[in-house]
Amino acid sequence: MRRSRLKGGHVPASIIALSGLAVLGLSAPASAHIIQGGAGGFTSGFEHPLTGADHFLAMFAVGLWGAQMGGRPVWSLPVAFPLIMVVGGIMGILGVPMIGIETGIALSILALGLAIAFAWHPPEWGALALIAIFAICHGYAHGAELPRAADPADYAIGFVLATGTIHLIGIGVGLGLQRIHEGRFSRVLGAAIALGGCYFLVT
Amino acid sequence: MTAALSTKARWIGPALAFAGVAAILVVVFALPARSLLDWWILTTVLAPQQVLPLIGLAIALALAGRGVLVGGLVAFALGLTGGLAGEAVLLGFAGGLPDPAGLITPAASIVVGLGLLGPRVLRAGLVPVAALIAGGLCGLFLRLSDPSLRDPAFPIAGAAVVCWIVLAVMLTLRVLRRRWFDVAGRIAGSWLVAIGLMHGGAVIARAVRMEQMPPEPQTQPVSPAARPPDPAVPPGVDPGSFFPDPDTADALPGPARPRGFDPALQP
Repeated sequence: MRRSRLKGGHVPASIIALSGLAVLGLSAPASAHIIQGGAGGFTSGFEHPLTGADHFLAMFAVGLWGAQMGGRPVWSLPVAFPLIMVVGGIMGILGVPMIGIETGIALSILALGLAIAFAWHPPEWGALALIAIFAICHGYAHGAELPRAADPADYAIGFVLATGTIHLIGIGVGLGLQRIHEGRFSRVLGAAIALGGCYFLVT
Repeated sequence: MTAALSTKARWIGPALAFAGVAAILVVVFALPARSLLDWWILTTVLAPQQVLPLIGLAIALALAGRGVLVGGLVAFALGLTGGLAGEAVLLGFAGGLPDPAGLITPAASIVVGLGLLGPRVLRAGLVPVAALIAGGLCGLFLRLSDPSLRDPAFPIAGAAVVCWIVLAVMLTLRVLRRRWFDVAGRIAGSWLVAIGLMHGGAVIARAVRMEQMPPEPQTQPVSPAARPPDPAVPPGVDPGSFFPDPDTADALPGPARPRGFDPALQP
């Protein structure tokens, strides 16, 4: 039976230094969610996950974490994420009241970053359960905007394609970095993402 | 001879894709004027929400074995014909849904996405069923979006474009097939299901909100005599003399216009 385990018990100084630099780079506010004003069509939907650092970091981290775990999670996490995100999206479309969405999004970045930094390899169902909670937060924020979109079809297509593309970038980067220095660079990136999550949590 | 034939056959898909894209580019950039048919194909038949399920179906067929591929293509053709011919029957199934026409492409995305997402063992049975349903929905979409008054050229051209998309993508992917395509197909399936659910949810939410909106109050038209005087018009001047009534405009002196000519409808 597979058991949850943490690889490595400490965070190297280089991870902390690089994470600090990454946080300095995250000067843009968490702007991907609950935008003011109406949303448009494909371009608006496609730009939305790419221009908001909080959403981008979380999607990238999902791909990176899957690649770090290896095996079936390489594709099962990016496949599950948009499907569960839709549940949150529909809740947002229907206007189901939910509190703490922005906090949940920030926590998702922090948790996923920490999971990568500590090379946490839970059982697949555990990883899926964790990202399910976060996917609902991300989906809700986007779904709340969808009915206002000028063209909901194009907006949904652009939004899902951009989200999937960020996952694929995360998988690609993760698989590439796993071959260098036994995946230490992935863990450095994970620590940087976790610090980004702290930033969004505080602001 | 057989080997040479099979080598040539490998390029049918990419050649088909290239020829179709070239034809679209000619219509978009080279033709001096577009007909209603060109306009309909470019804006409706090739709309992203209509094309994505077809690409998904092509991926599913490209990943399938030869038997499932043939069965899927036959099922798609049957579904497409049924959708074009059985508009009333298919719409009858969706009687209680809000905005059934708006839910056609989301439903196609979900069906095709589920066909791609299913386990490999079940895919042999899922793909032909998904092809049949997607074909029916596609035919229905073509029929309902047809702007002509039952001109047979429209559904025929629309069906040809739809078949071109499925065949060109499927044949091209079969040539380029790699082992990781199976994983890529599942990821594409999840995207299609997500797009379909979000788009469908937005369509339903919008339709429900429209139904719940109170009707606009009816306003009676005000007769010209009862209107307050316009301060911009000098006293003693009849505004109708420089803003002619459109109903009587044809009787005014000026260049002759053909019967039924409406300047407001001109580009």
